[in-house]
Amino acid sequence: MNCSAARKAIYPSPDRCVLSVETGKALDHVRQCPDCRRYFESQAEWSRLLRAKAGAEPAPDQLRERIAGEIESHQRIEGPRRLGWIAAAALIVVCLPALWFARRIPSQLFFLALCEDHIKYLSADSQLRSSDRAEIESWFRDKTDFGVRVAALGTAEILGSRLCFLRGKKAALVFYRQQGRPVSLFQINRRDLSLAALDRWEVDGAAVWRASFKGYSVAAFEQRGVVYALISDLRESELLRLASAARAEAQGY
Amino acid sequence: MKLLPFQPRPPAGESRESPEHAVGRMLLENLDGLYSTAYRLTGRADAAEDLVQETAHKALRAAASLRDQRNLRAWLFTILVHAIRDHVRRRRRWEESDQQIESAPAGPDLESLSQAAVQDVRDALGRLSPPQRAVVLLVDLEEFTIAEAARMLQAPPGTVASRLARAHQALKGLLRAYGSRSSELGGQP
Repeated sequence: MNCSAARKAIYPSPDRCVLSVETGKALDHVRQCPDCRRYFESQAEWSRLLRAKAGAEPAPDQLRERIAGEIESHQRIEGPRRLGWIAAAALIVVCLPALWFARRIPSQLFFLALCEDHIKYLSADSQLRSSDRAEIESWFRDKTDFGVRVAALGTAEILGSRLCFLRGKKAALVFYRQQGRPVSLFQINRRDLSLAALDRWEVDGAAVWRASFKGYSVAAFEQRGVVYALISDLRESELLRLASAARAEAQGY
Repeated sequence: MKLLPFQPRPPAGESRESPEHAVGRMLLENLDGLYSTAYRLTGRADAAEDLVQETAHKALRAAASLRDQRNLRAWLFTILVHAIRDHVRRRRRWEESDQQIESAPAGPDLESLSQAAVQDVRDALGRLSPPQRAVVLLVDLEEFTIAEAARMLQAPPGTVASRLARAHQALKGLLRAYGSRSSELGGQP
């Protein structure tokens, strides 16, 4: 590379030039060429002199005050606005889990109470000993504020029913026996119990919620404003199958 | 709302002051440079004040969305240069024919510059075309690189480098002319 090409490639100075494929070669040339080094040293000196001679036009004091005022007022507005956003974000971060727990914990306690009730009445008598579905439904008619449906759970045997009060809420309980194991089917008004506390599963294309408390499995679903919860120590898959059957039955009513 | 140019992403994990504070601090630190540039490109003190105020307003409004504080100074000058160019274009033509130079200008004439009076240097700057003056102000006086000046002026870097070379040649010619006039009058630097 000759002097003219090197000077053109890294004009006005090696530290402010446009970088290109030629830059490296030009810099190599300048390093080895005393004339080019002098050229760029003079160029730097010329810029320094120009800067010194041209000087700076100092900004008027009124402009400085106006700008400082604008900066201050902007920071006064942006500061609280930013704090507002941070506070709102913090509130969401704190409140969402709190809402989640507020919704989930009472429901979990309610399902736990259902399990305890199931255990408690394992060997107790039913209030109504009957295997007649219509009789049981009729017995519940003036006892609950929702229509109780006694579903046929496949081959499960219907033993009877009772009315429960759990955590201040009414629940209709129907006893079954499947493969020799007791199965309780609780029915509770939807407004008294949320399924959000349980894990959602799909069984035969429909949503069934499941959980396990004290060694007992829970399979629940919702139908026409009523939560149905089956509790048993049957294998979970068997209980889910029964829940699916109960759901299909309840849908047919 | 106009989009403000180049805001490269910050390096990961880099700590920084709030963007509003950084922009405010940078505005006050560079107020003389911003005002000087605006004044020299418009030739009017009132217009320069308005343009710097407009720059401050735009920068502060955009500060919250600023992702990088590394090159705030160049960012402020970019806002200013765009505002100046809009202002100058409303009054007269800013564009110039940008032929590429064949070679770098001959060595700088240090003697005529060192002997030139301050007012002559300012006059010579004022006689450059606005695009040439802009590139001299940004590269020589404000010490930005050609690449930074090119981004501010929205022109290819090669064009800006050529424009700077032509501006330097023009300045040397003007200063030599002032120098000979001064010698004829008995010369006072």
